[in-house]
Amino acid sequence: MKTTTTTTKTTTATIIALPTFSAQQHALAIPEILEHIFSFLTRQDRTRRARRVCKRWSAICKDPVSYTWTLRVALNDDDNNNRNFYNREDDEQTQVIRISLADHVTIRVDTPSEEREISERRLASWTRAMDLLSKLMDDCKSSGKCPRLQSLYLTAGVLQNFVIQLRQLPSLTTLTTLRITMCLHYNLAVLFTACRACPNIEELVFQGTQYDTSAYPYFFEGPPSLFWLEGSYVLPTLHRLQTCILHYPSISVERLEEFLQASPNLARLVLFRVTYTADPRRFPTIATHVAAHCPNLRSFHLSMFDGVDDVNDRELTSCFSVIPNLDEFSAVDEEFYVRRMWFRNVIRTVANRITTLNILPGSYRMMLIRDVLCTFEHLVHLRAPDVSRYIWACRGLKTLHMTVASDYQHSFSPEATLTVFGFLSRMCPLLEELYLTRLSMDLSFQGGLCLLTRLQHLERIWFVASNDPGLNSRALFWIRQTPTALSTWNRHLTCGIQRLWLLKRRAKYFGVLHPDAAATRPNATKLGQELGMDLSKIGHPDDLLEWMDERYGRPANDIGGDDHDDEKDEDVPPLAWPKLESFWVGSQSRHKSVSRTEKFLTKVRPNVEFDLGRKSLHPRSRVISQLF
Amino acid sequence: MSAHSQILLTSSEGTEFLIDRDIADKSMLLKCMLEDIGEIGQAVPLPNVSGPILTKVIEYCTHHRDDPNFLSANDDVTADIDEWDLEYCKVDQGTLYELILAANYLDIKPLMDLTCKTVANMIKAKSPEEIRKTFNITNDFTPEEEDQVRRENGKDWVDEH
Repeated sequence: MKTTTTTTKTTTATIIALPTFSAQQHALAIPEILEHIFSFLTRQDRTRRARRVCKRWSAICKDPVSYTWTLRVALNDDDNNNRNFYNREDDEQTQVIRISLADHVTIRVDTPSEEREISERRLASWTRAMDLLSKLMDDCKSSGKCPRLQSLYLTAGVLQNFVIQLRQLPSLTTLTTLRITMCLHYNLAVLFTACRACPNIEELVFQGTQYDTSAYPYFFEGPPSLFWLEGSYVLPTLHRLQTCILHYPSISVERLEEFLQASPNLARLVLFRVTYTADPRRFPTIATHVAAHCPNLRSFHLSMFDGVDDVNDRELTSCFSVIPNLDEFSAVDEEFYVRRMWFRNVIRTVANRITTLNILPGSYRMMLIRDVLCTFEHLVHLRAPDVSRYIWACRGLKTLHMTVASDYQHSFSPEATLTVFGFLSRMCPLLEELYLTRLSMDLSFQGGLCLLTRLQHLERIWFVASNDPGLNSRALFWIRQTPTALSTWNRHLTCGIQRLWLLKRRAKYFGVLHPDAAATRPNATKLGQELGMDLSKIGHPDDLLEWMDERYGRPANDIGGDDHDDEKDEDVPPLAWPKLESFWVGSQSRHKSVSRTEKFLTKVRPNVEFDLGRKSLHPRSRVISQLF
Repeated sequence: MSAHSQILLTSSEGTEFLIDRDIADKSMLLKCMLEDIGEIGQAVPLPNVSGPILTKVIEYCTHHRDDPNFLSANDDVTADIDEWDLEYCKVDQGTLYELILAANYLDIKPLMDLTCKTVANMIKAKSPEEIRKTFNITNDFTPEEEDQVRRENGKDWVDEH
């Protein structure tokens, strides 16, 4: 307001002279007004849209430096074994200060156990933690400050007694993300309690822990169904809620309806392995409810705990016909088999609209879904991280998550990797995100990782292998913009040995081969011609030579001296992956050379996040957490 | 203080507006001023607010005259805009920003919230380029900086704990 009053009458005069332009400029020039406007945006809108408009907006919307604080729900303060945990060393005041500075708070348990005594002590510790949080919120409120807390993550085992614990959550008005790792079959009413505490929630994730037995609840007050009868089902309208991901919930008709009514802006709804307590013959099914209440959905997944047949094709079709912007479809792989007729029949209305397809690992795993995939003409994002065969790239893809031949013995040979990278580098020119798992990965130069530099749009690369992928700074010389030595000699040294080996092998079989067979062209060449690209070199060291020529230009003089080096300086090859943001390699063991390679890469590409020794999760839970 | 007393306001062009005291009290600026100096019987000059905008502001305050939640309504920042307010905000962009400026100047919090919310809705679901177009903003990022901002925001790609 002060700003307005200090601007003199001249400004007023301009407002009258040029009403539209000037009033807008004038209003948006006042930081307080701009801040006030941004306060009505969700965090996502602020960071993904407003921040990218201009420098001024960026400065105003910028989230303060993000700080994560882990709070441990410890057994007992007197417990000597507890020395390692942060809580013990800090007095309460220090903890309050630490949490008050944090944007993200993670709460973990120290030792998972189902014993009643430990469970009780842990509950006491949880109560202390909640008191701390509640005190902090009150302090903020009384001093008129806005609390910083944005996300809260409760890890597996924390909510062993969720019936009591969730009720103790203080009112967290600034919280936008709540992530909870829970046990199976929790009632949807649990969600209500959490939502009442966080009315401005934007993202709600309840992850299931089917594989973590320690997370089965130990109840003090009898089974939750009884308890909830006295509980309150009142739910505030969650205007900001956009993403809701629930794994293994137990859903009843009334709660579902109330919840959907209270979240009008839901854009992403994942109901993974649901137990529906209503009789589907008498009550409307989940899909029908969703179709009726969520007009803004863009992504919807529904699967039943006991099988896929419960969600029938007709309901799914009605979902797609009622919700106009639904363009993401997720299903378990066997479902693609079960629904193949559905895909064929409703292809005109549904398949053409789907741009994102997530395929979850089911029990079949080996399902032939290639023909189903071909029906999705406009597919842009394909995530099938654990479907091991028959998924191949198609043109136009921007996201591809897949597993390649994890069970093939020959996946250990370098050509196998060379084939995959060579193929991808030609097939998916628009690729932005690549996730690749295989039993064995060869990321050395011979393995052909460099071929992927043909994909200029790549932003995120993620590999998971169980072997040592052979990434070292020498093998990655090509990632430098001006590699040190790339003479003809180098060309032949890097590829020649392999080529020699190949020739030797060919020579060995030369006498055995039928003369006609030598003359026939391989299938790949024919296929490539149909697609309008050269696939003949895929999997051969020749592909690497060709890549060098593409990238560095064919050397004019074979025996290059100093002159040659000068020429190269003038013609610097383009940066490998100019848009790269992160490059992760997940492997079961962290090799010694990894940190050295990381150092090298960070020096060459300071803006890229490299993590070459990423710890990989249990394959299945990783896949699910990656998709949802 | 009688409820029926009236206040005279003068807009930037010199047009005079006679309004009821309880309506003037919706503006914190006027309320504090009137409480401090008492009713002076003279016109209060508002040099930053033009006649048409002042009319619009008075229309808003008159509509919400008997609204008991007038000042506490802003607690729920995410609540939907009610129908009358929605209709009220259907003005051209120039007027909307002048309303923001007037609400800011006169310190009428609910009007400020309403107008800012309307502007915020114009930002939602738009690409940065569309936003620039809507708000007449030139992109002053260099490609590298733009990349940097995009990168900073893209961190939440795969959240592995």
